[in-house]
This record gives sequence, C-alpha cells and structure tokens, in this order.
Amino acid sequence: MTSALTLFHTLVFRYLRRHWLTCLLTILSLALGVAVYLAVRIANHSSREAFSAGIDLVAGRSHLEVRGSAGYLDDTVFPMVAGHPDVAAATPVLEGFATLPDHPGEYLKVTGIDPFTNGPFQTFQVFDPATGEFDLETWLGQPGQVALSRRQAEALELSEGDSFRLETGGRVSSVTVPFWFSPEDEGEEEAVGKTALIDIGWAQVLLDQPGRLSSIQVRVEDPTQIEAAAARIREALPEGTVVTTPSQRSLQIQKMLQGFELNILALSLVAILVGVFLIYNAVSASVVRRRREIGILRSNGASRAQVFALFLGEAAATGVAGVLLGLPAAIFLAKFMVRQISETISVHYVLTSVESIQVSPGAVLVSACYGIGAALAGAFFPALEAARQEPVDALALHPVADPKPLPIRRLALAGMVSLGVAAALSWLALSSGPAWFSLAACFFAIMAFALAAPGFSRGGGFLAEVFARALPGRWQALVRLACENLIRSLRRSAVTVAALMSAVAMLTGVSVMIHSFRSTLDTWVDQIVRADLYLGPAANEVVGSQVFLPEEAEDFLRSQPGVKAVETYREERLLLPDGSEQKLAVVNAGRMKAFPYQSGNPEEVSRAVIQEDQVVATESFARRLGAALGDRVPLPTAGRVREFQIAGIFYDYSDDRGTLYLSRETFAKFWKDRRYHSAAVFLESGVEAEKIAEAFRDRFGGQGTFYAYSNRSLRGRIFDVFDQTFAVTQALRAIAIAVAVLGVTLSLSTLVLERTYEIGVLRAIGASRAQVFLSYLGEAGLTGLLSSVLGLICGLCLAVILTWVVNLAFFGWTIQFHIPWRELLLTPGWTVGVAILAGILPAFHATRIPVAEAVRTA
Amino acid sequence: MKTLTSSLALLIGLAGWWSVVLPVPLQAKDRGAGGSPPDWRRAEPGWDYAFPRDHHAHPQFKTEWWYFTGNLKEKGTGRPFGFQWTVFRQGLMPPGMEVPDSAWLSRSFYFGHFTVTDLETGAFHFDQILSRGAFDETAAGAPGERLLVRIKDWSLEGAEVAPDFTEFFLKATATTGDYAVDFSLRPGKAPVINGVDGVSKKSAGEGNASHYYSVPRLETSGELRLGEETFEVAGQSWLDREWSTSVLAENQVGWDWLSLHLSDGTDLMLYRLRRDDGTPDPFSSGTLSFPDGSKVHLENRDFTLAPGRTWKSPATGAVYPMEWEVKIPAKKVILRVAAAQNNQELAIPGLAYWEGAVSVSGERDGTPVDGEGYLEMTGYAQAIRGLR
Repeated sequence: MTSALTLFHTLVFRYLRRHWLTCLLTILSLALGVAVYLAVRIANHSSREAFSAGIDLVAGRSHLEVRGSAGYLDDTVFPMVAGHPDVAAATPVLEGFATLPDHPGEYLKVTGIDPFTNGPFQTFQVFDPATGEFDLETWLGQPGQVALSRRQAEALELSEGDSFRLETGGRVSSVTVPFWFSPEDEGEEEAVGKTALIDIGWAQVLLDQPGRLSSIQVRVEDPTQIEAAAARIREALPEGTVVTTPSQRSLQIQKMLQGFELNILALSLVAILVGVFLIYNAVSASVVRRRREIGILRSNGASRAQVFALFLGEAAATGVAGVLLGLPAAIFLAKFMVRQISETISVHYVLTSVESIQVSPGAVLVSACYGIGAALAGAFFPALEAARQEPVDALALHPVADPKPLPIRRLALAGMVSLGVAAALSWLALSSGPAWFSLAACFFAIMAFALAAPGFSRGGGFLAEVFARALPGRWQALVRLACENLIRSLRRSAVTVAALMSAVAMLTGVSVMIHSFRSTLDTWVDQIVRADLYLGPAANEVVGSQVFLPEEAEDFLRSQPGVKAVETYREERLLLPDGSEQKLAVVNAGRMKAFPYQSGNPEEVSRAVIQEDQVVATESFARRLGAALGDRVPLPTAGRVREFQIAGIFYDYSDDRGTLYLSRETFAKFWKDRRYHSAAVFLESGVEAEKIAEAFRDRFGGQGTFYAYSNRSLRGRIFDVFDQTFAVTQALRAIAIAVAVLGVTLSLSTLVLERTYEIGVLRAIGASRAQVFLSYLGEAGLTGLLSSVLGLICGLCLAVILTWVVNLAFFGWTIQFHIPWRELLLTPGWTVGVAILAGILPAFHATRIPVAEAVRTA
Repeated sequence: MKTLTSSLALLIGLAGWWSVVLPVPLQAKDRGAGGSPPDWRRAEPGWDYAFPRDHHAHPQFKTEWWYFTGNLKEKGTGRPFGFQWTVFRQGLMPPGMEVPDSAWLSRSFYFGHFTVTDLETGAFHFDQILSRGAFDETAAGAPGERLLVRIKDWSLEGAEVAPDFTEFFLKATATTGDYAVDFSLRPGKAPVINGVDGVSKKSAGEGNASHYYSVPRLETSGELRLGEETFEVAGQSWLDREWSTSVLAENQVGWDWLSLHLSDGTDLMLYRLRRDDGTPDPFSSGTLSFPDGSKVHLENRDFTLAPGRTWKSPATGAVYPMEWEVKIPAKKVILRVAAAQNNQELAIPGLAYWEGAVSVSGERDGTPVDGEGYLEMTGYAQAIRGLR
C-alpha cells in the first residue's frame, strides 16, 4: 500500500508539478463546469425555497388547506371547518400584497393570522423588540399593527413603533410596527423577509377584504388518514371550496417551475460535458508524455491494471481539485444567478423574492460526484490506452501516432443511430411526453454529430488537402502538412473537433432558437399589442394583477376627445378542485377577433364568445391539457362549477401554463364582477397618448398611482422581459465556448508533444521555425473550420429540436423557424479565429523543440 | 379582588404561539399608539350599584370578571368537591372607538378558568378557555337579558328577577371534555359591596381601583361530571364581580385572597397585596358581612394574615403557604385557614397561581366557629405584572 502511494506520489505529483499549466487548465475547466452546474442548482433551489418559505410560514405544520375556487374564501366557512369532527385545529389566513409608496418597487406580502387558533401551526415568534414580549391588546385592539422580520424592518429603516405607508388596492394606509417576528427556523428569516404579519381581523380591514379569507389551515384528528379526512371535510363545505394538502400546493409550484428549471439545468450540464472532452485531452497528453515512463514501469513488473489505476487516479485527483475549486466558485456565481432566476420566475410564474441562497448538501454532493465522475469518464479511454501499451512499443524510438486507426465507419453508424434516437425522442416528447425527452433528444443529436466527427474530420482534411494542391509551392507544403497531421492523428483531433463542434452547435442552436422566438414574438406582438395607450394601477407592475382600475375609468377614457375605442383587461386565477390554478383573462369580445388563431375562425369565435358558455384557449392550455376545439372545460364560477366550450385556440407566448380568455359579458354573468385590471386605449391619428394619460392621472391621481405605456414602450417592455428570460442562457453558452477553447489549446499541446520526433526531423531537413509555427496554426485553424461547419449543421438540428420540440413540449408554444443568417455565416470566421488564437501557445512550443534532442529521444 | 391574574391568564393559551406571556402595563397602553385619548372609564367613588344591572357586563371599563368558587358535597355520600368557574372580559376597543366590520374583531375578548377539586381522591382538574369572540363564540348580555356571559359552552345566566336575580345558572364543560358542571345557584344573601364609597382602591393614584361586590352565599345544587361519573352535588358558592380600568402599582407583585363562609353565618372576604420587597401593601383590605345584611369594611391595619406550613409545587417549584392565621383584633376574630389539599395549583406556564378549597376553624367573639371557603395566591411562581 505504502509503495503504491509512493509510486503514485512520484509519478503523478512530479508530473503534475512539471506540467502545471496543463494541469491548471484542466482543473480550471472542471471547476468551471462544476461551478456552473452547482450554481444553477443552488439558484433554482433558492428561488423555490424562498417561495415555499412563504407558504411554510403559515402552512408549515398543517395537514390540509381549505381554499376557495375564486381565490378567496367566505369567512363564514371557518366555523364549519373548525367544528368538523375530523378537524383537530384550524386557523384562518388572509394574504394580500401591498406596495410601499415611500419605497418604490418594494412590496410586502401582508399575511393576516389569528393568534388564538394559530398555536398548533406556529412556525414563528412575534414579539416587541424592546421587551421581547408580546402584547396581545395592541395586536388585537388597534388597526394596522404589523410584525416585520428584523431584517425587513432594518431594510426599511423602521424602529420599533415607527409607522410607514402601505398601498393596497389603490388605497394608502399607515401602519405601525410594534412587533418583529422571527421564524423558528432561523435560516428562513431571509426567505420570509417580505412578509408583514397582522391580525386576521385587521388584515380584512387593511386589505379591504371584509368577510374574506385566503385559506384555512387545518390539522386533522388522525394524521394517518389525511386523505379520508379531506374528503369528509370537503363534503361538509359549500361548493367552490377546495380542500388540498399544502404539499399539493408546493407540488403545483414545483410542476410549474419544473420546465424552466430543467432547461437551465440542462444547459449547465453541457458545461460539465465539455469538461469531459477536456479531461480526455489532458489525460491523453499525459499518456503521450509519459510513454517512456509507462514502458519502464511495465518492464519493471507493473501490471496493466496498475497503469490503468495510475492514470485514473491522476484524473480523480484533478477531479477533486476541480471540485474543491468549483464549489466555492459556485456559491459566488449563484449569488449573481439567483437574482436573474428569481426575476424570471417572478415575471413568468409567481412573485418570489430571493434574499439569500440556500445550499443543500445534496446538491453539493451531486455536483462533486459529477465533477469527479466527469474526470474519470474523460480519463477512461486514454488510461485504457496507456494500460494497453506493450513495454516494447512504449520504449520504441518512434511512436506510431495513431497505432490503431479509428473505426470511423462504426462510429459514423453509431452517430446515425444516435440521430435516430434523437428523432424518436422528439416524437415521443411531443406525442406522449414526458417533456424532458426533448432535452434528451438534444443530447443525442449532439452525440450523433460528435460520433460523426472523426469521419467528417478525415473527409474535411482530405478535401482541404485537395484544395491545398492549388496553392503555390511553399505554402502548399505547409498546408498539406497541417492537413496530413490532422488526418493522421484523428484519435486526438477528432475529439477536439467534437468538443469545439458541440460548443458551436450549442451556440448556434440556442441563437437560432432565440432568434426564431424573437421574430415570432415580434409578429405576435404586432397582432396583440395594437392599442395606442395602456393604463393600469402601478402596484400591479410590482405584485401582479391585484389592483383594479377605478370603475369609472373606462367611461372617462371613452369620453375623452380623440379616443376611438377602449378595451379592458382582467386577469383572474381560479382554483380548480384538484388544487391547481387556472389563469383566466377577461377581454372585450371584439378584441378576440384580432387573435392569431391556430384553430377556429376569428369572425366566428368573436361572435361565439358573447354567448354564455364559450371561451378561447391559448395554445399552451390546449397542449398542456390535450384540449381541442369544441372540448368542454369545467370552471368554478360564483356559485357552482360550469362547463365552458372552447371556441378557438390561438398562439400566445405570454405564459406557459395556458390561459382561457372569456368575454367581459360571460365573466360578468357568471362571476358577477365587472372590474378590470387595465385598459387599452385606441386613439385617432394625431392624438398624443401622453395627453390622454395626463388627463387620466389628473382625474384619478387621488385614487392611487398608475402606469401608462404607449404602444412603443409596451413593446419595449415585452422584449425587455424576453431578453431578461434568456439572459441566463446567454451567460451559459458563453461559458461553454470558453471551455471549448481551452480544449483546443490542450489538444494541440498534446499533439505537439506526440510529434516531437517529427518536428525534429522537419526542422532537421530545413523547415524554419516560422514554417513549423504556421503549420501548427494551420492545423488549429483547420480544426476550427471543421468544428464550425459541423457545429453549424449540428446547431441547426439542435435549433429545430429546441424550437419545435423543447418549446412546444415544455411551454406549449409554437415558434416559427427563423434563421439568423448573418450571425451564422460569421460563425466559421470567429471559430477559426478563436481556434488559431488557442493554437498560438502550442505552436510556439513546437518551434522551441531542440532539434538534436528531439530526433534522438523519441 | 381575585383575579388580577386575568390578563395574564389569557396568555396561556397563546404561550405556545407567542414568545411571551405578559402584557405591558395597561395604563401605558391607554396613552399609547395613535394618540387617541384614553376613553376607558375609570373606577371612581360614588358608583350607584344596581341589580341585576351590575351582574351584566360593563364594556366602558377595560377589565372585568365573573368569579365563582364553591365547596360542594355529593348528596347522600357527602363526598366533598371544590370548584372554580371564572370568565374574564378584557376590553380591546374603548367605547369611543368604532369596531370595524369584521367577524374577527370585537370590542372585548373573553377567557375563562374552570377547576374541580376531587377532595376524596386528591385529584385537581383545571382548564382554560380562550376566544377572540369571532362568529359569536362569546357573548355578554345587556341589562334586561337573562344571559350574563358566555364563551362557547361556558355560560352564566340569571333568572326570575324580583328585584334581583333569584337564581343563576352556570354551565361549563372542560375543553378536553373530561369534566363538566351544570349548577343552579340561589343567592342566600344580598350582594355585599366591597371597599369604600363604591370603590375598592388597589394602589395609589386616582382611578387605580375597581368596582367590586360579592354575593357570598349562593345555595348551589346540580350535577358535576368527572369522566364517566356524574355526581348530584349541593353546597355553598361565592360570586365575586369586579370591573376596572387600571389597578396595580409597579411594586405590587401578587396577592393572597380569601373568601370564607363561617358556621355562624358570617362571611369574610380578605385580600393582602404583596409588594416586591415582601411587605403587605397598605391598600390591602377586606369585608366582614353578617347574616343580617350588615357589613364591616376592613383596612390593612385592621387585620393580619400570617402564613404557616408551606407546600412546594412539583410543577412550577413555587412555594405556597398551605395554612394561614387570620386575625381581626377589633372584631375578635381569630381563624386558622388550611388548604383542603395541597395540589390545587393552576400550573399554567408563565402564569401559575394557586386557587383552592380551604377549611377554616377558630373563634369569633369568643365563640368557636368553623367553615369552608376558597383561597387564592398569586405571584409565587412569578411576579404578576398584568393589570398595572
């Protein structure tokens, strides 16, 4: 054992010391892969934790949750729930969002709770920060007495007993902070930061929700029979009440975020995949460099297994170092990423604010395993190669660069199979699911092209050589030498081509997808965003559609000179009996005429939706639920569940969960509510939108603050949101490219080493240093060219999958394929450029090889 | 006097939820947030007691309670029991403040304590009920109504007005369901007004007092259930009614209170306020009332209350005197009061107090007397900081 360690120490560490740059590059690239992967995991996890911490604060210890399908619950349901024989404890909760007029852009989640019934559910303490005690009489007896977390109170610069202003539903109220609260789990303090606790009764007053609750939290008598109890409780409650477990709610959220999270996780895995290529290159280099050492070892009785273990051990050591470096880097990176991700989630899914990052030991472990696993996987074949070397060969004077030719045809065949698998997975992802098959399809597509890389490189090499014959003599020799070199050392160069190709493909695929998406969105926005002015309560920009416009706003706008028409928009979230949410949008029937329909005739649809039971579905809705034209959808209306018929399905990119559009008439009829969240104003030509917005603010300024977007600024905002969504993606692909470039440097360095003897001979027969230098740059350039061409083809394949399969499978969005030709045509240019840059260092090394020694040694 | 425990008590149920248990001084709060003037009425001399009106709630005052204690025996076997039934009202919004339209908000909230001492087995049962009054869980009747006060199924009603209620009906089932009472109580004596000029001073400062009367003799009969067993019981109970807005001073840490029915028909109510330095507070007082309806107010200087044997509570570690010697020299009264059993502590975290049945023997005017009653001792497990 000791001797093995000594051997490992002597051979491995001495080598690593001598080749510290290669070693460092490998470690860095692995660290980068691990860091990106873990950072994405942490960021995803943190945003989800932040969300569930908000739920846990009130529902952390409950078995069941009673909610209303209209998003609220009549509080007279409470005695029914509390008095039910299956219920051991019940407590009411009322939640609402408030913005802070004195802190623009900030919000608080106002959570009404009842100290008399909350005991069994308690996950926090409320206290007066001065005395550490709690004064119930202040809590119950006076309006607007809230508890903030210490952190939040400090962030708002509030001391105990200070007052501040809250805006809820367009009304500004002053509240006082006599209390702080602290979650029992101290780690959650940051996560629940934006919560203000207040008594349930005063919450009804503050939020102007008399007689309403958001939910009733329930602990049942027999926790082993939760489902049965839920059924009996449901039975005893009026229609329109939903009884679910809180985990069902978390599950809904998780499901909702799953697609989004999986996407960025997949992108981060690419970083590790590229790391595998790199390790392959690095270990290959070390095998080549130590050919003689291997020979001596084997001659002295070392077994093949020992040699194999030696190289794997070296890779593992590199892996460990990469992981050790990558983990802290991940935390650093996650801090940047978490903000991006939580903003994206807030924009598209649920309002979340992530104040801190949460590192789960599981994620760290998995990342570490990935890092070390990638190192071992990358090292496997080179280590095997080392183990297979016969002592005689290893000690031979001239190594044969490619002892056994690559089975190019077999690899190409495997590539075809892989492409077939990708196609099959795509088809499955679209037809039956699961959606993540589409990501697997991406992986197999890249695999297919990677497997084709040797054949492609050889073909490309020959072709380049043929072209080179047309060149003048001196250059011809150089270029042909570069081509020959590449073809002869396919075992190495094909791997480099595959690595760089994957990066280019990734970049191309994602660019094409984003470009297609943006173009599609552009057309769509033209059809959807038609009005000249959009008005709504400013609070909705912070907390989502929560606040209604004043009821007279519509008539007021219509009466303004120069206004052609006014349309209104309302958003509603219904709770379905299974505990999931369904988004409704309520618009004027006329507006539906302009929707880009996938199925259904616009004229007919706009006539149909005035009839009472017709709705229009978005494509995402239809895809997610497998609904078709004419299908009926049950929706809980005020009073009872009714079925609505789908009169049309249209393309929509505003959310990926699917929305049902109702006409105002239909909504008013069944939900008895005509209020709306925003208004769109159409103007006569020549009328300035700003004038109308000003008139509106003059009239309604006393009732709150409002946003006003002109057609142009709204479009701008839509694309801002779009770009924000893809910001993480952009960052990730940049990283993939960086890692691939490292690969070129490493692989060329290996080749230079392998060919020390040849270079010596070349120099001996009169090649100048400049010629050697250029021939290696040429090889690097050729590698870049081949990679970019193959990468472009692969990238287009990938783009097709991303655009038509991934988007449709995950989000239910049909995106028209648009190719950004100019960007793509530039790809070979910069890829070759980058490859040549990456080749400078190894090429320079090649010129430094001492001729006499080189010719003698090998 | 009994229950200055009140505001503390209510916190028990909340103790699990909130970090702490003791409210800040009430007076401070009245001056407190929002700058609204304190418009709770204070107990001032000259209150004109009227019955049955004053049996009903006084929502213009911040705090009040209905406090029954009694010594009962099973009919036939004579098996002895003690009981305590108390409902406290704590005002939240003063009369000048409008109560918003929410089922969860009310002008007052209510809570109650209910104990039964099973003197034969030595078992002591205690329970607390709390309600913020949402959805009519609590109610207080107005003068003219039979209902006096109710929290869920703990209720007190009066009946047959001529000129006062001639009968009270008292019910409660422990929140655990383990024990229950259903009693009829007939006053054997007119209400006795405690204190001077209609107020019972508790500490220095104007208005630091309560309006306080007792109904010392209530002929009680009815059913008492313990687990599966139901007993037909009868005996004597005592009702204390007190309402106020501010009471205690900073240095008052607790009190010892006695209500005694003597065999010669005399009844004695006595309390001694203790200060943080251990001395009796000069505002301690009592009332001696006679079968003919006459009464004598006792000042601090008129009596002594000397503790004897003590008992250490295994639950809270508090050490309570289990025997007291009461001397009222001017009235030639010497009484030895002994706990009917040690274990009668309401061991409520943060708010434990001892309230239990006692037996008494001694002499008045040279004649031997004995009797029964109730003893309350607070501030032994922790300082009483409420109701200042």
